[in-house]
Amino acid sequence: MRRPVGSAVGLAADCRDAKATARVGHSLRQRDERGGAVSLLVILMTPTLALAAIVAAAVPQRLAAQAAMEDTAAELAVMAAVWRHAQGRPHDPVGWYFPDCTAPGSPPPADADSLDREDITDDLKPETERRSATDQNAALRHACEAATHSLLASLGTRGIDAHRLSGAYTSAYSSIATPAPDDAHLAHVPCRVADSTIVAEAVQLGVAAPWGTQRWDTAQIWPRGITITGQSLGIVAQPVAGTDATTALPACTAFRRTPNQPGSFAASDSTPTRTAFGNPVVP
Amino acid sequence: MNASSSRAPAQQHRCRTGRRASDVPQTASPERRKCLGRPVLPRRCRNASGLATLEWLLIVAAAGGFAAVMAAGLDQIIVDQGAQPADVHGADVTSRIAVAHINDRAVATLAAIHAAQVSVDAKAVTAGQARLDRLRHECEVLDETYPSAIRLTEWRWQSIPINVSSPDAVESGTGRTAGRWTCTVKGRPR
Repeated sequence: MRRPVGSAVGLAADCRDAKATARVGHSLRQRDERGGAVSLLVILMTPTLALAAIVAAAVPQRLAAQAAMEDTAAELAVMAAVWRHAQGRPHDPVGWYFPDCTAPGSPPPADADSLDREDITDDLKPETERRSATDQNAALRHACEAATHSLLASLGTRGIDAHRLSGAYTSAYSSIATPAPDDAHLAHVPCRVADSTIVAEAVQLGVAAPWGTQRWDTAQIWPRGITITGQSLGIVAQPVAGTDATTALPACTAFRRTPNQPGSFAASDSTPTRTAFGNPVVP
Repeated sequence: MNASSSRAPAQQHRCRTGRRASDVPQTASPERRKCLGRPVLPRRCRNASGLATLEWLLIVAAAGGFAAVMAAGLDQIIVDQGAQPADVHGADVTSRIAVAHINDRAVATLAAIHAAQVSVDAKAVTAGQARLDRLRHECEVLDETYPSAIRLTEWRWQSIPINVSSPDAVESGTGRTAGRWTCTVKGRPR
């Protein structure tokens, strides 16, 4: 509707129109600015949230892999200590050990029956002793194989390349004859951990394996992967009958420390030798 | 010059939004300017999103800068996390594994040297000695390879007999007592 121009009524109507138009323009402007802010927020937050999601998924995986490696190191360290103690081998590789589960000093068996054939060829031992040794070795080998399969499967599910796992364990702590002068905290065995318990043997072990190269999300953060390591101290503890025998022994000060605390590597460096196992290439 | 005639082309301007400039109220009237004290509408129509080209450019530049800063910052955080004590601990472990591999190869080499001496194979003995020299060098540079983990390396002879399948090969030939070359290390105090 056309209003008269120049009159007071027309001027007031024009002013109302102008104010209404100004309000509409102002609300449009507010909506535009709000829309721009939302667009800016979406543009900035989308890559940030995507990256945060990847990181949130990858970091717990790394922690889980680290925990699995520490558990593996602990189990292998105990296995090495018990095997050294049982087989009486303070140096060199112990037999029936991870991951090959072969006899000491022998190459990996080509088939499952090679172990029995090797032992049967030993004609110098009596029949009963030979059979007993064969059964014992077969039991050791089966125990080693079961432990190996379990550990490799556990590491594999955590994204660790178990086929490239490498490790080393020290010689037996009982093989240390004279402590070096700068190793005041040197670990001696046997030593006393309680009134009726002694540590008869101990072995320090470390393992390392690459991780993060097989999964897409972890490869976004660690493109070349990282090396997950673990170390542990395996001990053989034995109960003793009387307290007189244990009081004469030194206290196991070095073995009270957890492996990741200071002093553990210094104690392991005091052992004369180390034995490697697993992949020959150090990751 | 008549103002209304000069504004005629602008009023016929058709915006990208499809809204005609003639649809908006006229703002040329002095009374209306006095009434509101400012122009009611901007001279140019806006696009659908309400943002001008320059504003979009600013948004894109801000987004790019933010993404670059986030990428650099997160990458630095991740690198720092990987280089923290866990990495030092990893160097401790891997350096000892390297020592173990050197020790194992030294034992195998020494056994091969003994076997070659029994079979009077001078060429194999020389090759074995050269291999031992390389292992000694590998041992002595470990403190440079793992400076954060190893303080001192030592290549020394230890009277620890080698367990091999042929004891005769070990006990004969070298003139030494039964023993082996070992690489021993001293770690850095933590």
